[in-house]
Amino acid sequence: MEILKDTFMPYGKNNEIVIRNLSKNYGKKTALENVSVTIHSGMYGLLGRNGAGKTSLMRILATLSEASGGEISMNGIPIKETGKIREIVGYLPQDFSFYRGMSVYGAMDYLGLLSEIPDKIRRERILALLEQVNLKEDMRTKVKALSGGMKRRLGIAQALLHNPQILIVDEPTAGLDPEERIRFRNLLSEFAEDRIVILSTHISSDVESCCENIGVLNNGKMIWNGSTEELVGQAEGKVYLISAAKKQDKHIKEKYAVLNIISSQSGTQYRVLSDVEPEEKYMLQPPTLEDGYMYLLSQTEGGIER
Amino acid sequence: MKLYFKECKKIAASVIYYFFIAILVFSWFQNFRGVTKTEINWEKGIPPADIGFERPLLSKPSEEDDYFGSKVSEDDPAAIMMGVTRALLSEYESNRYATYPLGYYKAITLSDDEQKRVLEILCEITGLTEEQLKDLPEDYFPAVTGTIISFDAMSVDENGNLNTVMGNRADTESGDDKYKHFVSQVTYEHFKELMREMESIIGENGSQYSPEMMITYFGMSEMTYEEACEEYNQTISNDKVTGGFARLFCDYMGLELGLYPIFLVVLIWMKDRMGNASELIYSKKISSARLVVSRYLASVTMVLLPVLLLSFESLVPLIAFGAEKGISVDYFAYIKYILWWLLPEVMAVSAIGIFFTLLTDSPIAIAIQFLWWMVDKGVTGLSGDTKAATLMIRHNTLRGYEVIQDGFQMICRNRLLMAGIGILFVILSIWVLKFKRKGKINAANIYHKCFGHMQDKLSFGSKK
Repeated sequence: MEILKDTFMPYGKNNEIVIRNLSKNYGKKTALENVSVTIHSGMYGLLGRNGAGKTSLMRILATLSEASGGEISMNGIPIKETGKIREIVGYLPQDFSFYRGMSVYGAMDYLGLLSEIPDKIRRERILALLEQVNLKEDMRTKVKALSGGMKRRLGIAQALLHNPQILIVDEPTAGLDPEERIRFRNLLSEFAEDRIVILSTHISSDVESCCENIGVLNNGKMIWNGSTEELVGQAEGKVYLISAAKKQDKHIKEKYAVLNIISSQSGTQYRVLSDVEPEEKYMLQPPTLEDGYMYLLSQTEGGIER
Repeated sequence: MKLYFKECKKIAASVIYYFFIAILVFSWFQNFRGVTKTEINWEKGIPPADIGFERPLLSKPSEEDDYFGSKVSEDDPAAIMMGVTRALLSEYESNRYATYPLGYYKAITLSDDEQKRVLEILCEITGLTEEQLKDLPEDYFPAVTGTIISFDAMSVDENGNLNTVMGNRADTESGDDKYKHFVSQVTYEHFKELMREMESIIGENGSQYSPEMMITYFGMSEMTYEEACEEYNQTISNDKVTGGFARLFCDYMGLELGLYPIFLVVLIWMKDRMGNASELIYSKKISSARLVVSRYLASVTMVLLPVLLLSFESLVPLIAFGAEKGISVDYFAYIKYILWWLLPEVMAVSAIGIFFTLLTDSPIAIAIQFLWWMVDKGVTGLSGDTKAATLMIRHNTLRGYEVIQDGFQMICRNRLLMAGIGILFVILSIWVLKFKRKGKINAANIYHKCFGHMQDKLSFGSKK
């Protein structure tokens, strides 16, 4: 695990989010504890279980919630200057929805007005973005008639409408089919070329292909901050494929952290995570991001569920 | 400005707005539609079926006229005493005394001792015994006393119209035989003392025996030619024809606007939550002040727009009438009255709606406004009863220019207060929204803090 050694710069630089000793409490419950991280331009994936504190962090960055302690600066602007922050941040909440009776264009236009984008630029951007997210033909369709995927695309289009320098996207792919997920990830990657995109998810494959850097939150603590490759490397030499008879199923599950089970006519194969070489017949496997993530969780107090 | 128009458009596209318009139109249709045309027709010699005690407002009185209309005053104490005694006798016999605490009807039944005292009062006023009171001659009271008309005073003409014989009104000069006709045996001052005692026996406000109600119900007397001329001149010169109609129109509309805009406003703000749009909106650049003020102005505009349109049903015929008769008409009377009479009311109601909806994330503002509306409606008299905190100014007559003039200072203070309440709650709403956008005010957390322990206890209990 990379040691968090960023030096805090009170007002940071352009294309940089500096978070230092951030904490958030809801009454007696701690949602975030001493989180420190610096995020540079490009796609940044925020991984963690449900309830790990991802949404709390995202909401703080989107100025929708105030930190209980610590400091944040975004592109050199302290988070307390909410007006300025809102100008440079685009936000797509976890459950994106809008007025059901409004058309796609109407919703974009209304949200564009709330972002105080001048008329001409707003109209041009709306059409360009709807084209980009493949919703131009549905611009007269009511929000209530959109599918889950179309809604997310509308969500990302509205978040990009004021051309933000930072984009915060909370669990954007939940409920999307594989094709929609790929399209969505590509869209975000295109946008992230010279900006910061923070993508929060509990699905590791969402960030594996498109995020250069990853942070992992667990029980409100940032337990990892580094490159995707480094996180994958955590599980190097620790992922095994064990072939076993079906009757050994219970034994294998008790002994190892099972990542995957493949059943076929020739028998059952278990993809497992282990610090030591298995006693059973095995094949060493190249690790994926999910393996690295699971290994990381297994090393923390929560551990991975067996 | 763009956002303001967008908000207006949003309201115009909502179903609740059409419900609001439907209620407004229904009330207007029931109460005011046709009033103007009736008065214009009456001036042309086509009287309405139900004349009541009025005279045509728009026709110049002539000395040859038989009747110059009626007025409510304390000029004829004998008529007041007669009317009140008649009502008291009737209520004594049924032992059901009508009262209006907070303006709503409540019948009071008295104990035997209290009834005994009421009987003593009746005997003192009439100079009759209990037995004599039980067996009064049929014409002991005249057919008309105040606003009470007996069937003897009514007749049906050949066209089937119901006419009231105004000549058969209380004649307080004739008939000094106390056994045959009512003749008060007490002075008016002593009578008022007795009625004050009656009020305390009944123990609730708003009975017919309060000094104001006695005059309102039974202080009706005929106007003279000079008084009728003065009323006509007020209508033509001071009100410039339209003023009185605009006041009556605002009286009816004000009753609806004291409550129904709250539904519209609450739904506009609740829609953010219901549509899952709150976070999205809160994360945008727009300032809380601009968002609240734009929506507030849009809701006030959209509430007053149908009111303004409905006023044309009265304004257009009056303009035509003025042109035909060569009388100068105030074209802007409705706009003026809507702006200073109704606007402050709508401002207060809308702002209260915004504030409580934002603060609680619930439609509680509807309940709060409903309570205020009910109490205000109950305690405010039909005309000339504007107090500092009156929500809905009442003036349920086409006449009474002087009533408004007499109380004008109070009305101005009242409307300024309503507008002030509106502005204050808008400022508070901006403040609440600012904190909500930072997650500092969260109604769900407040509810959890307030009721969480109860919930915990309940769930603990259920586990058992």
